[in-house]
Amino acid sequence: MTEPVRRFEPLWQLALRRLALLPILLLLVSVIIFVLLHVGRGDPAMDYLRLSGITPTDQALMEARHRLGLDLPLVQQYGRWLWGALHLDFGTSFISGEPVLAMLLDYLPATLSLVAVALVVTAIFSVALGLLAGSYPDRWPDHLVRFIAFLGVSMPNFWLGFLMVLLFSVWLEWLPPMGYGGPLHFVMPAMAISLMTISINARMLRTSLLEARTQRHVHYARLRGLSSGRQLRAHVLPHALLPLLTASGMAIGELIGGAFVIENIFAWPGVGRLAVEAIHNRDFPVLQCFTLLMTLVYVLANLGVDVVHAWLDPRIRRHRVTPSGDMT
Amino acid sequence: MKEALLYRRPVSPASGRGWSRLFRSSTWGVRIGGVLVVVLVFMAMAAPWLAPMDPDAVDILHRLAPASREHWLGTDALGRDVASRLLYGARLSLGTVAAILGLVLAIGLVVGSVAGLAGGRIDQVLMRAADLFLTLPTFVMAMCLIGVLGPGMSSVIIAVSLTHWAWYARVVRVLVMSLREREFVQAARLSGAGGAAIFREHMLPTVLVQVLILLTLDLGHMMLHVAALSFLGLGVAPPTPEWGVMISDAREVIWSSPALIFWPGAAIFISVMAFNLLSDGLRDRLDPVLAEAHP
Repeated sequence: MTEPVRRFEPLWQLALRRLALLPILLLLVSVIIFVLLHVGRGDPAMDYLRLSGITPTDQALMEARHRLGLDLPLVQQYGRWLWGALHLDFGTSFISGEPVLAMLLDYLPATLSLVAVALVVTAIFSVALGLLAGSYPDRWPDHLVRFIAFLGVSMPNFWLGFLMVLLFSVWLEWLPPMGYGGPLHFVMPAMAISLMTISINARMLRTSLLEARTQRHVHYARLRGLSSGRQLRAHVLPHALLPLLTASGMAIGELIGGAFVIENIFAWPGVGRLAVEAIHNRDFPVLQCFTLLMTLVYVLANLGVDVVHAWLDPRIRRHRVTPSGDMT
Repeated sequence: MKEALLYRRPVSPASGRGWSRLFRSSTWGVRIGGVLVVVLVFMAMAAPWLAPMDPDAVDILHRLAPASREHWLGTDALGRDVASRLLYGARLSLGTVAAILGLVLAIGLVVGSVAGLAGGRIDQVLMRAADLFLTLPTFVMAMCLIGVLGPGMSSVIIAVSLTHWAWYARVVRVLVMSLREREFVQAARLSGAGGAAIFREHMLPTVLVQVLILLTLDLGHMMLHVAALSFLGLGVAPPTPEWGVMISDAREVIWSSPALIFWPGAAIFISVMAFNLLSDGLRDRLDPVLAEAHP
């Protein structure tokens, strides 16, 4: 039997390779959005006039079309937009007239901080609950965790948000019902967003703990007389936590989506609320930039997760893992 | 790991009278989930006969009325009967999810089987497209798509389907490619059957069943997406009785009548739970390895 060739790709190379794909991804997303925008119903020039409060005469409509470049062929329009985008100019909002990117960047920190807190909450609770369930399989702690997790995956996050407001703000008067500011303001929004990911990940950790315990090296550790705490720390957990790390990439997407919904309940000054407003007003420049920004945030976050994963588990660096590789 | 289960035939209800046999051989979770889904579908279909009132009838004199014999769950801020609106809401929610299911199934089947059968360049292009959709976060992209298409129920259906088809296309592709190598397909080919006939007769039935079962695993998740999008006002226009919209409407009176937020939310919660119960049971049945993992 020959020893397999152990050739690990350096971390920086992995990160660079993935970063190189990012512009292509952003380009594709922008093309999709652009095409859909033009096959979709409605006339952006009309929306522009409506939002700027100009009476939509034929004359005004023509001028608006010209001003927005809508009278050019589609390819040329896209070229113009792309040229601007390369210079970080994503146009101005139909409503406020402000540059779109600056506007979104103003709102982004509130969303990102909420997502970050929710991610930490997810990590802490899913590990704690998963360990609890996995350590007492089929005893009451396990049943309790599985019950909570089951409710968690079925609960609409916005409804949970309202229920918490009713309980903690109206009835108990412990927490502020809405707004952005101190640490107390984070409690309910972060919990509302993360219950779903906690439930999914706690279940996953439980399963992978039970699976890890059947591994031979864990049997061997037990035979060597290691204490159960040491078995867990040194032999079971490192294996069992890895799937959780991979899953946190998915979790980030789920959390960002959740944040957009929850921001609307807690009057949170984030990009989600801005986007919902833009959708209602059909403020296209904001929407376009928002989509790209969110793609960027999500892909970068996933890249971070993958680099950490590759750092902790060099095995996945042995072969080049392509996104099209045999997945799941 | 998920794909491993595809090669096993689904556990078919053993002989005997199908339905009762199926019921008796199921776990309690599946039974409860199944019954709940049947009840929900019944409520949705029979809404016009079950609903005590017209769901859109405004009665300003009796606004925010508490539960009574006349109004089982009270009335909302415009005096509309909450129970009736909930019943009609079931129609819309289940109808939307059914439409999404159909659309995802259609896109997944077409893209997946074309990729699997054609192979080569076409396969590569289609699978790269699927990868693109798999890379992006589903809810955020659904929101962006609705932004582009304009709010409305059809936009919600299109957006949620477009963000969910990719995985099924991949599954269909893998199934088609593995079926192509199976003896019965080879035999059909040797006996001179045409490509279309082989696909229709020998591949489609298997693929369809497997993908439908896999799709039920996702139904709860899709339903939550639809509810959240409607809550944000990106789905149906307000007067229509829809659960997410009802919650959104009730926000203005959350301090005085919290029950108005509670009931529609509970309706969403119970429906998603029903689908999840059903799918958990199905997953355990489909995958004995997974079933062993949680005894």
